Amino acid sequence: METLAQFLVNGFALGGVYALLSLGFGVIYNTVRIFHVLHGAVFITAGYITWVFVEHTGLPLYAAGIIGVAGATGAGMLIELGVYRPLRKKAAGFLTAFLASLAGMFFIEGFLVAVSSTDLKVLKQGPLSVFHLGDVVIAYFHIIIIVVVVLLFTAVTLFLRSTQWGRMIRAVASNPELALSVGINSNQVFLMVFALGSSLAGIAGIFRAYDVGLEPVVGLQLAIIASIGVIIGGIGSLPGAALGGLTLGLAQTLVAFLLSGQWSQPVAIIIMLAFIVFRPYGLLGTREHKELRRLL
Amino acid sequence: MDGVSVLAGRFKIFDCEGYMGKKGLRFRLPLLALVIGIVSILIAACGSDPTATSVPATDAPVPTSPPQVVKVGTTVPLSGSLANWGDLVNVSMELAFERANSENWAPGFTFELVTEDHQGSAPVGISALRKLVTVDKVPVVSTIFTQIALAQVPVADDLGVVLVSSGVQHPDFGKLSQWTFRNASNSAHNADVLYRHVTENLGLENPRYAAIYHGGNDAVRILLERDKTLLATFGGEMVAEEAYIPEEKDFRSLLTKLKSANPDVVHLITLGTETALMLNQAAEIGLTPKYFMTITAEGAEVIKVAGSAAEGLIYASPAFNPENPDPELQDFLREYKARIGKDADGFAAAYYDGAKMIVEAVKRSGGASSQEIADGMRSILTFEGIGGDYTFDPATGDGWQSFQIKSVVDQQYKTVVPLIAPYDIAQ
Repeated sequence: METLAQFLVNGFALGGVYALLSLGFGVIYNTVRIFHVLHGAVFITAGYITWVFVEHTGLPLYAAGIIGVAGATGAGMLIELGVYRPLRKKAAGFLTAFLASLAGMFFIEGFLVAVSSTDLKVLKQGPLSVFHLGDVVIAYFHIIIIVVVVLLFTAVTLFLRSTQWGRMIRAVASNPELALSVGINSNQVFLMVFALGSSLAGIAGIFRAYDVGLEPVVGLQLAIIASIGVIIGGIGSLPGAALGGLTLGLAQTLVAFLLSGQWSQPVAIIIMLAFIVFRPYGLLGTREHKELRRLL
Repeated sequence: MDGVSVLAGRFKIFDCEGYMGKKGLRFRLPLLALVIGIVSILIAACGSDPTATSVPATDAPVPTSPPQVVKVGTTVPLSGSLANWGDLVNVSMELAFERANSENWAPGFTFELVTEDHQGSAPVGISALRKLVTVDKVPVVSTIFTQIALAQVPVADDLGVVLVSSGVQHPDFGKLSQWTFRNASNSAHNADVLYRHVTENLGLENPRYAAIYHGGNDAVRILLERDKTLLATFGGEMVAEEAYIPEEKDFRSLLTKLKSANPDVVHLITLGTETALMLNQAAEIGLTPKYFMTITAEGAEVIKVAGSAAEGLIYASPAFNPENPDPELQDFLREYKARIGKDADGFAAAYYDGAKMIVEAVKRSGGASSQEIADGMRSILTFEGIGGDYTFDPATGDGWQSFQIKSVVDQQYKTVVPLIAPYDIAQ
């Protein structure tokens, strides 16, 4: 029983990072309708920037982390301005944007390998500090991850529901043509969405770099994880994206418990396929979201 | 990067069709053919084979024949998550060949490294080997990583090219073909010595063993089988075996499962910084048995990442001593660090020695065909390198590198049992 409890704790820690990543991916996908593979590159960028400042300038982790998140936010906005906006101007389709995103992902991975090597970049030395709850071991850092995920999810939800920018984002996500007809500048909205989604990916990237380290080649894998989280949760639903990421982390952990660690990645794909076939609108998707799914 | 190339290629094709149209293509194709023709003639004129024998004029002084260039291929990962290993191999071999050329180790021959990226993938490794042999015409290829090297063996056999590895510890690599040679320690022998060390020196009676291993390649399976044989010899039982995929970095689930088996000793069949991450995460959940590895932990920067969690880790390491004042070793260490920005370890030294042995083989046989290099390699029975001493089986070409048992003590890599030579293992 203690072992199962320990697995649940491990699963929440892993799922917390996935949740944040999926939330960022969902914010962008739900509004811009781009399969943003470069989300993985933004995730890595934050971790790398933070690592460079911690390792080479001696900056405290929190300060380097702020710079890392700012870097990720900037990277996301640059991607929108430099890649997706020019493609939209040329009326490029979903597939073209996806291929451009994929190519960009490979480019950034290759660039990071060339300039910094493939060594794992870890933001700490040694094990995490832990406390015991009975026989279950819990790392303080994992508690921080869960708390931050809950706070950020709440903040993003409030932002989208209660602010002018949030209403504009929802309007563009819901009906871009109608939003344009009432004077909403969709380019500005998209830029804001990329800033928001990329900052969430950046925070997730720093969490990952602190917890288990980062390599340049994990970006694509994590972008896929993020998209699977969105599909599980239900395309179009932000709570669903977060829940999907969390569910995926828990599922991978439980599979490692019941079968073997070798099955943790295949199971993510199997779960995604199962949702696509049997519950295409995901855990929290609605009929409206089901309509959105057609765009995928 | 391959994906980028592929995509770039696709876009280029579309662009040509879009911008040129049929008329444009009709106009540009002859022009393109003309340019290709001129360039081909220029290449043919300038790029004559430097190894070709020239015929001197009858009354002209006979020039000294230029040294024969021996192209040595390497298939290493230059992209992907294992790319660092590619730099390690290339820099080490380059340094050996530069020294061989400047000091004329093999009179009449100079050596040139030709590198192909195998991306850490066996199919790509096979293509890279084929390209080196059929296009670059290399007579000998050095390689790295067991699963890739094993996949390359039948191809090397077909092509009749010498395949050397200074890092593959698969027990049978050197015996698989007349073309395979190895100057690396043998992981099965390392396991023998480590099990003996655990039993005799750590005072554990019938310990409970567990193993964590990556993937499921042939070398890993052989090691797991060897574990069973050694348990029968030295006592103890295997209480858990857990596998992980190389991309995995969060091992907490796996370690939690292992903890419930309550092992005394864990055999880590792991690579790179995964070892360090495992040690960290095991310490977090209070899993603190003795850990040992049959390969060195030093190149993976275990101490840097795991810190105190690495304390007590036992591993087999090549008998490489960076404190040795040997000028060749010290030059290597200095130049390696200047080029790559890191300290060389025993693995890097083994690849330097592997390159040096290829030079020695060419020198001994007096020729640089694959057959001559294979004959030369087979004639080397012992070899003193900067990474330790090597002993070879003349029948198979399989080699053993002398090694030592080391451990992490006070955040430093310390020798526990110095210099274990092959004859010790045979006893």
